[in-house]
Amino acid sequence: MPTVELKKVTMKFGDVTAAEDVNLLIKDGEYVAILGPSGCGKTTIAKIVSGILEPTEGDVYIDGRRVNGIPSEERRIGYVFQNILLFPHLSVWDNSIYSPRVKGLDDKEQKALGNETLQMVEMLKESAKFPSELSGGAQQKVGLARALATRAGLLILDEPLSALDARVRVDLRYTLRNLVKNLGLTAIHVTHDQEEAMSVADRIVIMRKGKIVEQGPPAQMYHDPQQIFTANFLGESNFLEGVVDRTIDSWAVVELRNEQFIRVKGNGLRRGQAVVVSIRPEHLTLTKVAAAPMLIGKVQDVHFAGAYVRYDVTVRTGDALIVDAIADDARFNTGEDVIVLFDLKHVRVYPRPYAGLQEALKLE
Amino acid sequence: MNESKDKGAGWRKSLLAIFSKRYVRGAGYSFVVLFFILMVLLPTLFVLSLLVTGWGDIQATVLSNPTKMGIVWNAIGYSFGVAILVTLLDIAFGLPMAWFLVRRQFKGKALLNTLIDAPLAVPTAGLGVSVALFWTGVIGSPFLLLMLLHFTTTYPYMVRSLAAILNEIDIEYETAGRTFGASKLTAARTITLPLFRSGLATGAILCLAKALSETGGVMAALILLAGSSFGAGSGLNGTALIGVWKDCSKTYASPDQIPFYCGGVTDLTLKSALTFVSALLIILSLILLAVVKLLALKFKFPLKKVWPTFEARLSKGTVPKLRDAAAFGFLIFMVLIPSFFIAGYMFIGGGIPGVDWGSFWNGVLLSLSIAGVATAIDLLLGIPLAVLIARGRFRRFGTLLDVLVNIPYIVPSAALGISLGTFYATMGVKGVDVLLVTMAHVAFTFPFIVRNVVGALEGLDPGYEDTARTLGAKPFQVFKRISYPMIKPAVLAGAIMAFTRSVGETGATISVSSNVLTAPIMIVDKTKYGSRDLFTAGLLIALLTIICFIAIFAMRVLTNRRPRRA
Amino acid sequence: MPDIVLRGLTKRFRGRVAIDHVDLEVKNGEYMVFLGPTGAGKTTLLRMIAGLTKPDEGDVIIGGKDVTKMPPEVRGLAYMSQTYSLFPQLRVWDNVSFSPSVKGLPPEDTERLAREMLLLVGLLDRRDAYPRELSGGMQQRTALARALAAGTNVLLLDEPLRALDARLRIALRLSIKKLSKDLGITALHVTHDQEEALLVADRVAILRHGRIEQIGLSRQVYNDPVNPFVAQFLGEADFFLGEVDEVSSAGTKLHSGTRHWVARTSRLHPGQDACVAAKSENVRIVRDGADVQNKFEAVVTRKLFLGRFVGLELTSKETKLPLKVRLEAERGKDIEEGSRLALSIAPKDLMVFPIPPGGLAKELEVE
Repeated sequence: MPTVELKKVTMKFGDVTAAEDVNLLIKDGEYVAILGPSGCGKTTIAKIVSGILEPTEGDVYIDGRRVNGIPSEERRIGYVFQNILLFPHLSVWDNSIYSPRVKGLDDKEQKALGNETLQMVEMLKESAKFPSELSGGAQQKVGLARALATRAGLLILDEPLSALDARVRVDLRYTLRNLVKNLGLTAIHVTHDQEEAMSVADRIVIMRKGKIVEQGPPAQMYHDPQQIFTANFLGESNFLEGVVDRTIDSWAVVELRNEQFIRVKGNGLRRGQAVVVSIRPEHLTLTKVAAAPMLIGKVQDVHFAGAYVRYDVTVRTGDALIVDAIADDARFNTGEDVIVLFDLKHVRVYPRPYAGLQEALKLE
Repeated sequence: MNESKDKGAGWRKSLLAIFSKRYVRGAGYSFVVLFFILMVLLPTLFVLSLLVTGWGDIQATVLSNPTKMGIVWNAIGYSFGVAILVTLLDIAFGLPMAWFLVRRQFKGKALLNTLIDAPLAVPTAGLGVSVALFWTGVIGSPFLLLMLLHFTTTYPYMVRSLAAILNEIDIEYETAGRTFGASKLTAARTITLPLFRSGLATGAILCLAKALSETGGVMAALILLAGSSFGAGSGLNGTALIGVWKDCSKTYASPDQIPFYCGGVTDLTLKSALTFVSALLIILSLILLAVVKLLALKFKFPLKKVWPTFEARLSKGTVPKLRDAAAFGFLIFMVLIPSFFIAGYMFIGGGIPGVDWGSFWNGVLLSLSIAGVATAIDLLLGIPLAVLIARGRFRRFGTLLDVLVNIPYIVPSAALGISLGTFYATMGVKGVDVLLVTMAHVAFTFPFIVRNVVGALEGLDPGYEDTARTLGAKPFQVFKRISYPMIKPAVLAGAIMAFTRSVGETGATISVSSNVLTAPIMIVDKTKYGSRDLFTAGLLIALLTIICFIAIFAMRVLTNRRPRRA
Repeated sequence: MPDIVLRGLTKRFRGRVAIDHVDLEVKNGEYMVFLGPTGAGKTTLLRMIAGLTKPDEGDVIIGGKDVTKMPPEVRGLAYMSQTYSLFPQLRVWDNVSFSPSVKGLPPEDTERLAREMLLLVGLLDRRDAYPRELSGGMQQRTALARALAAGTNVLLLDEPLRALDARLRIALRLSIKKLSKDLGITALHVTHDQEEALLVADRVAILRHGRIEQIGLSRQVYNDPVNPFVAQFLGEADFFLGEVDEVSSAGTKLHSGTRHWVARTSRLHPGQDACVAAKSENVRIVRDGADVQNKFEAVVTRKLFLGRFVGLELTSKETKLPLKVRLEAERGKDIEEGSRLALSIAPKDLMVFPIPPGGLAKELEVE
């Protein structure tokens, strides 16, 4: 199964730079998710790898072979589209065998491939139907079968689930991952949905404004994000601005707003450094019993979210924090004074971004 | 000062309240529909009823006269044969051009667009003159000459229709096909082409209608070709026949005013012959176009067979280049150069003193006035009708109206003129020839406005109008503030197309009354053996072309100005 | 007086019933969410309330007035579509001031309203921009400001967050609710996203095939679903089949195969076939020797990383269907694929339903 490598790939459309100096290596059999907000360049990268777009600069290698200038019909790839793009005038069956047909495979091979791929996505019974008669999820399954019938080792999925309902997305993403892994394919899955990326990928590549911000395995990126954007984009985080007041051994004390102080792990921090303290909602606990590290606050609102309860708490620094608690735990009410406990293991400290915190965290 | 402002607002409010009353709107729409049916549709089809009432006369004067029948069948054959062949060739050469226009990115697209539209600016009588002069000596057969003429009259319509539909088809489908291994040609053939049906059908119908309808250009070309032997019978197509017989069935003040091709006598019995030919043309055109529409819906494109290596080879290298070269070659040598060849005659010079400026300017002003009034009427009544069709509550009625509105356009304008003229003559309306000609012009330009506005309204996301209403806007406010600004480019385009068509029209004018000397009629006159004056003809053609060209250019600029979607 | 009342509202499209005799009352100032899969009829219902679609039967009463026969412009509500439908040829300012302007309000009032709403959504500085120059989130906020500037008491929102990126949706979820609460208006928010629904709603109405399956507080519909469809549509649930042995006010006793279960009380009777369900987070991992009720064994077939949670797929011979279990990342850290785990479900978390007509599989279909 092919490896994919991008070296210093840049894509410009007139004045607009869609992707800038992208270096990426995808290993044989790896399921990589390229994740980022709209306009970050992720679809551009997918189109460059597939040959739909030619990069302005840089080189693209598939399986060690340089493919710049080679049209997409000559690269061995399977592509799944965001808009699904099933050919409306062809039946499910004819859509699925489109690739072997246009490649000139004989009838027997076409039939075998059609049966195999439609069976894999559980759409064999609907072979005679036309795309307009199918639901969104069913259509995309056929789209997947059509891509798999190319027999290519490299599968490119361009926001394959974005057009579908939330529930359908959840079911289909597991189908996707299972199929890819069972067939041993290399997959590039482009998405703006961080939950989707985390659940399907071996490795996540986060892009923003045309550049790669950070990459790594989902669990590592979630629990140990190196960049502040990652901390905000992958899952949710609370952010508190402050200045390092003093360092003692491996600890540091950070002065937050309104003369509130908090103790954190101090690796690499210097006195006087402007920092941002970040912690995820599920790593905060509400209690009536004080224990460091903590901040005092008041519950502004309570929301039920099914498996957890979300509290909006305004703490004495003036920041509005989100605290998630397991639904069964002790309940707190709007207006109540509480203590917000920080799980020290999961507190991260970042240098204050040069462009300002808001700008660094912007999701659009 | 505040008081007067309030008074103004008060006036507006009451006017708005009145307009929004359901029965007022209902009355307005009814008026528009009635006007259309009584003043446009009925006169257009009137001649069909004469087939029944005047059957006896027709029997006597035409059906029992083998010479005359021979002329008629010959003419019909010419008309339809030429129309069908030209349309097929237009598809063959127009399709690659449309593809080139839509799919390729290159500098000078605006120029290419302008060139393709250019022949539309020339009054068709002028096209006839130009084409005939260009091919003098090379082409002797009237059939072939008419084909060459119609390349110039129909090509822009074909390319525009194809390009419009191609634009709508998401190129992503083809891109998708290519990621699955299809070569460019295979992807285009198996994916885009089948999605293309409606575009091909529209283009074919527009071309057929135009070719069948053309009168001025045909007459000018045939006259120039046949010279003194024009009208001898076997060299005429349907519309030319109508033109000739119309001329020969009038009463003239003195015998030497009788046109040379009538053989020295006028034959008033030709009136029923005219009825017959017009009715025949109308019926056959409607049948042909219904057949085309059906074919387009049912035609199965050859999808199953694929020849990967062969088609891949055709997608690269010299073949696409040859194809594009052929497309451009056709555009330049069969369409552009023949269309503007007449310009050469301007530079021969020396003809200026011989120009009768009085009738010259009369002709030009008459053409422009008729076109202006017709377009104005079209807008006033066409927009409400379009709103009724696109947004009306009774969908079936709207669809029916939509079909009916197209009839005056599809029907050959010369036949339409005969029908309309006869209708009003039968009603006892006399002496207002210019008005009748204007009504005929309204009839065949009406569809331009209605079709454009309907298309634009149907393309409009209903979400805008829905949201506006929920925000408190009454239907008239919704149209004025939201829908109309968004369809304005289409309205303007329709108006300009209607205007330029009317300016260049010969058939509908000549067949209603040859006393109304519009510029195209003068152009045809100037080609006639004995009164040949190609310089004046050229001058008329040049002036009208420049005026129409500016109008068309303005339309292109306006429709490209701002994308309509957020 | 409730702000919105629907009585017997019905709509058919070509013989198919899209909305089936829906009755509903939305209280003053309530933030009501219609939740359901695509095709459930949520948009149709909203459009009928707005007056954009005519019902075949039934009445719509807004603010005590029967508006069923009235056109949208006089119903006294504001509507925001999924794609926002911002008027592309008008600037932000003109979009937002459209409603007061078109209703004939004096210019000073129009300006005041527009300014106020733009301030509320934080876009006053973009008043001169055209919609196409704005990002997705800004377009949404502009559409919201425009709807609010209509000055009505009722706000209808058709999937207001759908067009946004997933992460942005999460960030903007509660903003609409906050705005409507601050202004004291009644809101109807349509969505297919159950997490969104639960978080923002005062009350949730679950729609399926044109009918309201259940309506209540988020907590209620989540913890006390009336049927398997609702049980699995909110959050994630596991199902298995069993036969009822005994029913009392203390609970229901069932068996599936040789395994016995103690579940919540229900209204089934002994001998009846039942469908048993539990939310994935209530299937707990216990120590091997623990003395708990409803204990059984399962093998982990797949482990999924879900950020704050870890999702496990397991198979167990007790339940036949594959199980999904959700636990906090911390606790799931060390579990490997292939491990054998002891699981337990507390009786209060085990729900019992009659077998749905058409079978369980059909009931759980999401499209």
